[in-house]
Amino acid sequence: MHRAANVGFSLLVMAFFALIFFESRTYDERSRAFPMAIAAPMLLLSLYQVGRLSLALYRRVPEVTAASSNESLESSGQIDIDAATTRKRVINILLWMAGSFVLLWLIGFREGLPIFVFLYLWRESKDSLALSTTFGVATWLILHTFFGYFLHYPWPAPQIALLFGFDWPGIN
Amino acid sequence: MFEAAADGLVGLLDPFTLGLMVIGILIGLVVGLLPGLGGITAMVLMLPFTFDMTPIQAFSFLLGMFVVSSNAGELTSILFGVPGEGTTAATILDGHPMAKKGQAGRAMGASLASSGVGAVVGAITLAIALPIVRPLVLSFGAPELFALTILGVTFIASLSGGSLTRSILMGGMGFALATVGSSPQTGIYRFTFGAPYLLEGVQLVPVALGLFAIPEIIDLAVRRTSIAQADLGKVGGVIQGVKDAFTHRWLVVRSASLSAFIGLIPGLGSAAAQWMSYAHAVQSSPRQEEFGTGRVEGVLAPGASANAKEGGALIPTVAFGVPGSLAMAILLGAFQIVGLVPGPRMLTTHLDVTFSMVWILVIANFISIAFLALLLPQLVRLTKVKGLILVPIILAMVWLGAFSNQSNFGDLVLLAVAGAMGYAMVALDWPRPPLILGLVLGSLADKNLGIAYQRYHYDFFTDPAVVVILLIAAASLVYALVQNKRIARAKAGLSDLDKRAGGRDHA
Repeated sequence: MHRAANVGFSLLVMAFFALIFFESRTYDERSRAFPMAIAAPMLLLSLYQVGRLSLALYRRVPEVTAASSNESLESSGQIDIDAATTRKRVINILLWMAGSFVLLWLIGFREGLPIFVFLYLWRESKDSLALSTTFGVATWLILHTFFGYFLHYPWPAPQIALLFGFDWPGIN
Repeated sequence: MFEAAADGLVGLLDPFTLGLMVIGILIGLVVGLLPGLGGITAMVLMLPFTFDMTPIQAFSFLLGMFVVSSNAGELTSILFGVPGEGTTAATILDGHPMAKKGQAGRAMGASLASSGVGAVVGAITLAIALPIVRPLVLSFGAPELFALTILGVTFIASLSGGSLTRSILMGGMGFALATVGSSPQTGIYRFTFGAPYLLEGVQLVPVALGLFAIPEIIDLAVRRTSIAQADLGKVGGVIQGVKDAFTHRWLVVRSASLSAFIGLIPGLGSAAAQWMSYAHAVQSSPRQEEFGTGRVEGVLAPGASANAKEGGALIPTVAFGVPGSLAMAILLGAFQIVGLVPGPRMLTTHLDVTFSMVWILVIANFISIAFLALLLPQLVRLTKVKGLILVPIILAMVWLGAFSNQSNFGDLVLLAVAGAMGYAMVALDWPRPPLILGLVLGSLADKNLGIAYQRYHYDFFTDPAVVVILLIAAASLVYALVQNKRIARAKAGLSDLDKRAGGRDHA
């Protein structure tokens, strides 16, 4: 599974370099020189990587875990969680992230972030209403006072205000 | 020279000036603890407030703010695995694993101590090296800068974590991404695919936040435990971290000096300085295979670099009017506001003002360390807070940090894409640091290669300075490859031992 996913990722990397290489050809000589000089050898190297991994997958060579690489040991403090639960939780947090993005886009950062913090703590973290409200209000206060009042942070106009053509309080 | 240094210090010790520095430090402290936002954003937002200030007051206020945010940014990298600024991502590699092991206090103590020592060493190194380095820096043109980016690229091999092919591919991807946007040679927009957001190129901050912060947030949401799995100990190991900085004092000195020199070269970029310091720590360690698992040297080197590089960047900014880093570019704006003209006169007539800026970096650094030291015990406790409480707060800060980069929702989309990629890379053991280093160095290489080729064709490869730098790069690459093979052999040896132990267990 790990190796099959690695082949897939390597294919994506190869596709990226192929895109850079072929798109570069449409530019004039000076504009394309550097990207092509990068993309051409990288395309070959990624092809080699895909070939090597695919061959190992085909021959079912036992997988050597890269457990001692820099990256894999970053999460050395992990605890055992079964795959199904992990998958469910990953999908869950991705949905929360997507939801928070839509919220920020629709009603802006100043109001969207406190609502997101409150909702996540209350619904997902199952914290008490008092604690969730406290954190939500604290977020709102920081955004309004420190960023808004003190730093004069340039908040973007919320999409909902732009769509329906009305002024959002405190945002020009 | 000593008289000017003394005058610079006396001018700074005025109570009002020190008060402004402390206000700047307090603002920078709050901003610095918010991932992605960083001191540069704070400096931009606070620039208009310097209109009524004297030059030294304005620099105290702005540089104080910048120094503390740089230090605080290191702490968020350690605590949450979220880069405080795009340039502090190198600290995550060993700092965050230390936090997971319950050694957040030690990592933060080491980072602050090395940052303090680094600022002083950087300033001293500069003062000593300035007469020698000044003509060298002035003689650097596009060919030498291109050669230096090649030297930087060779560090990718040291950041590979044992997988050189993947590392080169990720470095190449960083380089390719750096070519998105306007061509420095012709002004033609490349690889924008009709998206207005890409006209400005691929931004470092959302990419660094996405690659490093999003996987950590997902990990925290999946584990549902606190960041630290082990006990924190009585004072969380802060004192041990400070001791580490002195135990590895030569690493701190070397990293600070290297970063001061990188900062000194206009256009090389301060983001590269931390990665190169980290790579130097890896290269110079006899236990390279343990980097990335929570080695304190992996925190000390980027920590020493944090402020040393800004000391270096100060020199071309004040002496030639060429900003050595993004923060220094904003500082140039302050020069105009307070009526100073950067140029050689800053090293003659206004040498006291130049020295006061060096003093500000040193003094502000120590004041900020004192403030942060007071906060450390509370910050360390954050690693024992339930993960699900931290998730929305960190995510909120990451969204805000990415957006602050350009005030563009495209940054959030880029953050999400980089986050997805970062998560896949962690899951599949692909190294992330080379991609960031490639992105940092790619645009510099593109620009300087273009200029060098236009002016000298390929003859610049025979320039003595270029030849020397490329030889150093080649030696660095060969050394890294030899070390990589050594690590691979060590891993194979460990694997054999595991198998034998497994065999005995089965028997």
